Amino acid sequence: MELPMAAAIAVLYATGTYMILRPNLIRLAMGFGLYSNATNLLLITIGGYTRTSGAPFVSKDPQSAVGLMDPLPPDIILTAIVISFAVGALTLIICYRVYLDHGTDNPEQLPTEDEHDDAGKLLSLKTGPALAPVVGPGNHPPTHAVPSPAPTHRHSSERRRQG
Amino acid sequence: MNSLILPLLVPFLTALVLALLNGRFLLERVVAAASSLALTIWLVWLLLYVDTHGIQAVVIGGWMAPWGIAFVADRLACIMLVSSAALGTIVQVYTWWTVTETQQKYFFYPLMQITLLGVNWAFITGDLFNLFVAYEVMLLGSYGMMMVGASRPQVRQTLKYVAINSIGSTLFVVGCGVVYATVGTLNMADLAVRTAALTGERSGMVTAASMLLLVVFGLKAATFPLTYWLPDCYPVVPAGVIGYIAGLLTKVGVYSLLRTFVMLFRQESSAFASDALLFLSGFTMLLGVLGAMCQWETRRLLSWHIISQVGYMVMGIGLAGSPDPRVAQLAVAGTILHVVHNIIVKSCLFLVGGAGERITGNQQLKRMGGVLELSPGLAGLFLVAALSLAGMPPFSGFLSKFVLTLAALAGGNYVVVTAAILTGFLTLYSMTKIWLYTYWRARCREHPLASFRPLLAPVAALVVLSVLMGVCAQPVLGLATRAADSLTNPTEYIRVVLGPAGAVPTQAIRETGIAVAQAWEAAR
Repeated sequence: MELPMAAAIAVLYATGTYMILRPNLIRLAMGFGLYSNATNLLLITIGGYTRTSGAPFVSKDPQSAVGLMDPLPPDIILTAIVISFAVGALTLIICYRVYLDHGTDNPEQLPTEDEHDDAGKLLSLKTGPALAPVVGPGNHPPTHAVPSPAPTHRHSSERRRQG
Repeated sequence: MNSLILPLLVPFLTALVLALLNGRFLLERVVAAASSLALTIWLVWLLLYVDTHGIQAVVIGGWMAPWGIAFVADRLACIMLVSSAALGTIVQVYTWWTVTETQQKYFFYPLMQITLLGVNWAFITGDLFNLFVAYEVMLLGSYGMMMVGASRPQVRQTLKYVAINSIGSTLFVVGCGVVYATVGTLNMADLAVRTAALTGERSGMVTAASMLLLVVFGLKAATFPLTYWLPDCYPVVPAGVIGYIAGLLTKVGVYSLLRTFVMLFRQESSAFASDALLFLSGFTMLLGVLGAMCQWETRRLLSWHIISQVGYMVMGIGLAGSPDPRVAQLAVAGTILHVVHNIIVKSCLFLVGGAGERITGNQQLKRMGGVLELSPGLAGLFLVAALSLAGMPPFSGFLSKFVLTLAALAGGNYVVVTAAILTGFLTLYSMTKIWLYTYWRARCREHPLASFRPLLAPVAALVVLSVLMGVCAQPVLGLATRAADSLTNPTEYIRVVLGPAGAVPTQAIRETGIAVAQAWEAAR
């Protein structure tokens, strides 16, 4: 069972790396999902999973532990799944927020520097959607996929054109 | 000692209470700071208790040690816990005046408590996989803290931070898996016993796993090839918050390196790891300080300095692999001192920078100026902190750098010593640059832009701590040496966690397991 598992893990890691290296934020988030799945498969393999291995503590012969899978790796996997779920949700939210802020989901088109005024103050800290909340009661970000026509955003894009 | 879960329980419950208090700004601030202050006082007591009565441990749920999750308070963990809680308290007082109500409304204080929970958890856990969970809790809290207010640069840089840490987390789980597959345990005390006996192929496998963990911890600590996320991410964070994040989060990575590479991975082929660490440390120091020299923004400059200071700590950890136990002990003691010194001084410099920004309304060095005239007190505090960072006596930086240099010279690592001393001089250059441009030049405005006087109190507290650490060098060094001793020679740790015999009652566990299995069968 080790060989097919190793192959599956390798394919998942390779695909995940490819996805992360694509210039696309959603693929970045999906790539991390693939990474966490590959890691979980790796842990199952470490736990001695074979086609015939039984679940921990319930073998046919209660006196022996032969043929049982190690119970600890599934434990670790469960924790890792929960954590990767939380981090994945957060990554998606941040990706969406970056898309709303900059109107692009291509990380290469994101600005590296922010615009400063003459006094050296960060402009985007004062204007733009800076003070709009990410989430908050009764203040959800717009649900449509097009960059929001919120007045603050239009203002900042106008300013960018002038500058 | 069941109260060892207090460092987790107190921030967690405080975070819940603060989330319910959301919107009552004053109450929230007072509750957060009071809870951290109470925790700090208790932890100082714990540090003194552990120092006199030896290592304390508790195994959660009463499961026996290698199976149950152990929380262990040895001297190193206690020192780190005291530093993190004290810094948390001071920074929370500082944020009373710097975090706006808008930012506070987005659960700033609960997020800060969650970060504190994760940091404390990472320090006190005695289990490698539990360390991973602690890291994730800490990171999720810090993601929230970095994004508080959600301005465009903040969200953009946090995405970078989240992405690079997701890769780190993946590698961490893989590293844990490989260690478990090779050694058969994740409990740190048990690992310390078993890795020391490893030879041959398995020893090489553990070294491979330790290299995976080196990448993970090195990423958090921002060591040489994995530094570039840090100077981009940290400058966008609000002024008070950065003091906490910059002071503490990289040090958690250094603590983990110290714990794993000094105490856990002591197998036959571990010399490779210490060589690698020494190699990385030299580059980290020089890269960090050279990166800082060409910066013209206070926060960015100080962020690069975090990297160069982490280099010193990694150097100490690399020296700990020396065959001479006295050199190893001295190096670990120096590393511990440098971590504590850096937690204090680096946060202090960021907080001073935040106050300077309030006075001049700017963080570009060339547009700041005359802070010495506008606020002599702040200038004095900066001078002490900057000289301490550069390693001038009698401040804390001199003590830690002196011990580290001594250890490196005793170990015969002259190249790294040269890099370290050169880095010290270049640090002085960068600090002089800030001093010249921000403080000494003609003033850029007639009056301070915003009120800054209350900010001086928390900054002064940190400066006093730094000076005390340098002046009371003898007891501080004694404590660090005792902490280093129990780390390089972990017999006491192993005895406390695994029980007096050092051997686990395997037979009893086996019989319990069989009884459970029989009960299962009967139920079916």
